[in-house]
Amino acid sequence: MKKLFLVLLSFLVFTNSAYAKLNVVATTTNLAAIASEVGGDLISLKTLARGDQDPHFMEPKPSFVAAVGQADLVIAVGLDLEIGWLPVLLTQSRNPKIQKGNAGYMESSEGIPALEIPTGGIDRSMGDVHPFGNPHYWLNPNNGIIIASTIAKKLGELDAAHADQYKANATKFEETLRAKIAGWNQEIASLRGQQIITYHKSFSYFMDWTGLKQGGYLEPKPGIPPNPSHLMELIDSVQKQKIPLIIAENYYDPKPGKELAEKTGAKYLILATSVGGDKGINNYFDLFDYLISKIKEAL
Amino acid sequence: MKKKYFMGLIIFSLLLNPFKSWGETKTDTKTIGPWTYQAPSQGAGKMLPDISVIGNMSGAYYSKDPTGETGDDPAKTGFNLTEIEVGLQSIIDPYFKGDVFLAFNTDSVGIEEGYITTLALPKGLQIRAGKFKLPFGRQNQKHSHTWSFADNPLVNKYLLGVEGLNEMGVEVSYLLPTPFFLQLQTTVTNGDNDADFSGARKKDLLYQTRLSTSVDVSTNSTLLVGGSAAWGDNSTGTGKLTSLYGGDMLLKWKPQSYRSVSWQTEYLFRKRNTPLATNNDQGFYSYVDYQFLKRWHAGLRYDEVGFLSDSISKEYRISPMLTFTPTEFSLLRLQYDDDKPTGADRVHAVFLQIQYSMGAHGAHNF
Repeated sequence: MKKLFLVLLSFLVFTNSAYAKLNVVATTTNLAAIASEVGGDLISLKTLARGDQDPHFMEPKPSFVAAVGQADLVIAVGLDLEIGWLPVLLTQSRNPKIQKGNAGYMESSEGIPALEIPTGGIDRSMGDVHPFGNPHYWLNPNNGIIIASTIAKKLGELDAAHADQYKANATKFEETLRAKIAGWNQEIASLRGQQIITYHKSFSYFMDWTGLKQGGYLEPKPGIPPNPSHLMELIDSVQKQKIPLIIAENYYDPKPGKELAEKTGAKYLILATSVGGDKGINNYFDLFDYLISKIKEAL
Repeated sequence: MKKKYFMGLIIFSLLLNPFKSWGETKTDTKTIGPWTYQAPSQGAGKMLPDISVIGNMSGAYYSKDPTGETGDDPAKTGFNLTEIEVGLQSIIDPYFKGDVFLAFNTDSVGIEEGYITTLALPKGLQIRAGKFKLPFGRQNQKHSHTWSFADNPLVNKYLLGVEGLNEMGVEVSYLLPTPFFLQLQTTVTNGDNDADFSGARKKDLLYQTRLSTSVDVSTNSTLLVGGSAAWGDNSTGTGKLTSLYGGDMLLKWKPQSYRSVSWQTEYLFRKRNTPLATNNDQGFYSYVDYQFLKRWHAGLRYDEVGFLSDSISKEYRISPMLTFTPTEFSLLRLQYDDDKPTGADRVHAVFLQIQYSMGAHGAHNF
């Protein structure tokens, strides 16, 4: 009986200590990077997908269930990016706070001008088309400003006592980011109008910002791996249009891009698209420093 | 002329608009930073439940066709429609989620599962009520289209019955507030299982419980261990008890987004009292499922089931398989079974399984 009491007591102590800081779970490292700028020491942060993993294809691991179960706030990318795994996590977490529609759940896509929202009917013969638009919006740093302000607003709602602090942190982040963007804008001026091939539609927002032009995708359709006939077409168009660079996200099969580069003489880069996806990308700013320097080096 | 052109433009835009506003019946316009944007919001169409249809069929060759009920296994040599499952799933209100799965076979329709799950209970508690696959081990909880192989492990078929433990009742589950995953599930249901639990008296309910835990052994690997037990009266006589115990383990190594190895093993033990004797039966399966490319899986399963009280009846089976998933919505699987029941003819079987999935994108369980 005494033992049982001690066990129960330790649970109580445990759950109480969990309330000291806001427990925030971010589905991706990019959101975590921004949330940590906004939340600072006031939040305790956990991330689900690693930076080198495809956020489309995660699994609802039990350790994720445990993390979400104790969360006060879940920050998701939204636009159906996590549709294959997050809904299961939310239900299995047995946590009423973070269910969709409740205060502890947010999608940072709120307020983001989504690209590639399909008009008219869609069906799956088109591949993995996202009906609400392309979800890779964190790759335009201007969207980072919106994400930070959305997170600050949400954190302020959940922890009103520190609302001003969150807002101040977000403003500080915005200022730093704007200064960075001004610098990057000069660096990327030379990229405008250059054509590149990418594996998936992951770079649409990055290209929208930098002015890089999409010369084609290694995937014949979103979510469908490259096949020989599609590669033949790409070889032809890369040669004809003299497309200088091929990029594959670092969680995809590196071989088709390598083959295309070898056959056409184009440069080939395997790039991380998320914070933590490669060495030295430790925060949201690093991500753009990394992408811009890698691409400029290659072009 | 100008007016006509203007009218034409209005008509044209009216024609286009229904398409544009599909699923965005309300739009918000805001300005943040340099951006002016329109945020799409969800329309009334989203109030419909998510509807999914999953078809599962197999071309099969058996050197000797199976006898008796086969459940979701391919039934005979030839073409088999194993099942068409229609799933209707929705958040009901802030407090409940609803799941209904209808199973269509060539000559029958049944409710495979139909349950309501709470979303708003505090302290890691959740209640589920309705007809559902009991959380006894791992295989029993799975719908046949999520199996890694074309047929059910022998031990599940023989000890839990071809339909598995799929009963009507209530589940209370508790996710303990530990830093690692630790979950307790307890169910009380009717005993409508011919194999084990079908006591005639009103009080002959089936009681079942499962404790499972999981840790991430490394950044790339996850270990999940569970233990289950169930008790209820069988139909061999009044107050004759069946006890079931099971242990299961899954080790999954996933170094990349599209490379993984899963090793799953499950052991089951059954003690069944009858008016004449007490029968002890046991068995296990163990399989490895290796995803070697984004769309390809290869696997090998070993099955063994033995009836301890009857030493002659043992059955061993070995099954290699190769699976190709063109997308998440279609699947082709080739499998071979080498089945050796002691005291009977060895059975060879080959399956070519086809699955297709339409409608809502179902999230997968771990």
